[in-house]
Amino acid sequence: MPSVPAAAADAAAPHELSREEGLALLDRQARRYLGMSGDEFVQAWRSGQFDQDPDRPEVMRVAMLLPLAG
Amino acid sequence: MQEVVRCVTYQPLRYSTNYKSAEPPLLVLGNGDPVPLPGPGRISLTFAMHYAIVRATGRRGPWRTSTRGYLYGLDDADGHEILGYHWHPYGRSPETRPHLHLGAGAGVRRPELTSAHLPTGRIAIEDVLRMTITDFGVQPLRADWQQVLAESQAAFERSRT
Repeated sequence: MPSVPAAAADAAAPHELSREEGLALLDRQARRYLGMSGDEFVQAWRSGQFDQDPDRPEVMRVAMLLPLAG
Repeated sequence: MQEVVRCVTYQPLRYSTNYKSAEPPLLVLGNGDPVPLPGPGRISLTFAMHYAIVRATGRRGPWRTSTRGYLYGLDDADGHEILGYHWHPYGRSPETRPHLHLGAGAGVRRPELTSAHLPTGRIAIEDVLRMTITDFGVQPLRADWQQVLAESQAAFERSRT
């Protein structure tokens, strides 16, 4: 059983996201899963463009991050 | 919760506390990317949870964390989702009950299963992490993983409504 490396132990403390970090995270995942920016996803989501199938894994993985959009 | 996920990964949890948002605050693992888990199973974990801090009375009080939604995803080595436990009672999806998706990585043959919302009760992350160790070959990162998961889950069960 590996012991926790010191660097990993320090790095593994919970981290509060700043607004900028949160937006960057949302943007990263929107680009990863849907090929669009975070802003584009938020607008598309709120306008109902994903309403036909909002529960697709790639959509929901980004939609769960909507709290980061503020 | 950080101690719970440390059973399988050193990635930190990140959280938002934007209580001005209409959306519930968020807890996410790492930077949101699927996190590779150790062991021969070569699976990755995606974790996101919505929560609220609510008043509680008695043993649960004065404050407690209440889960308001979650997404637990397991992907195979090629990035295909094997399974996804979802609960998103807020938002635009008509499915507000906890449910399970079987993804392309599950190798299912019936087409209905790849789009079905399989009903489940509310699933604790501890159950999912335990399953990755016992059934998917994930190597736990701490010797006391069984105790950590059991104690955390027991505390959750005592406080849940």
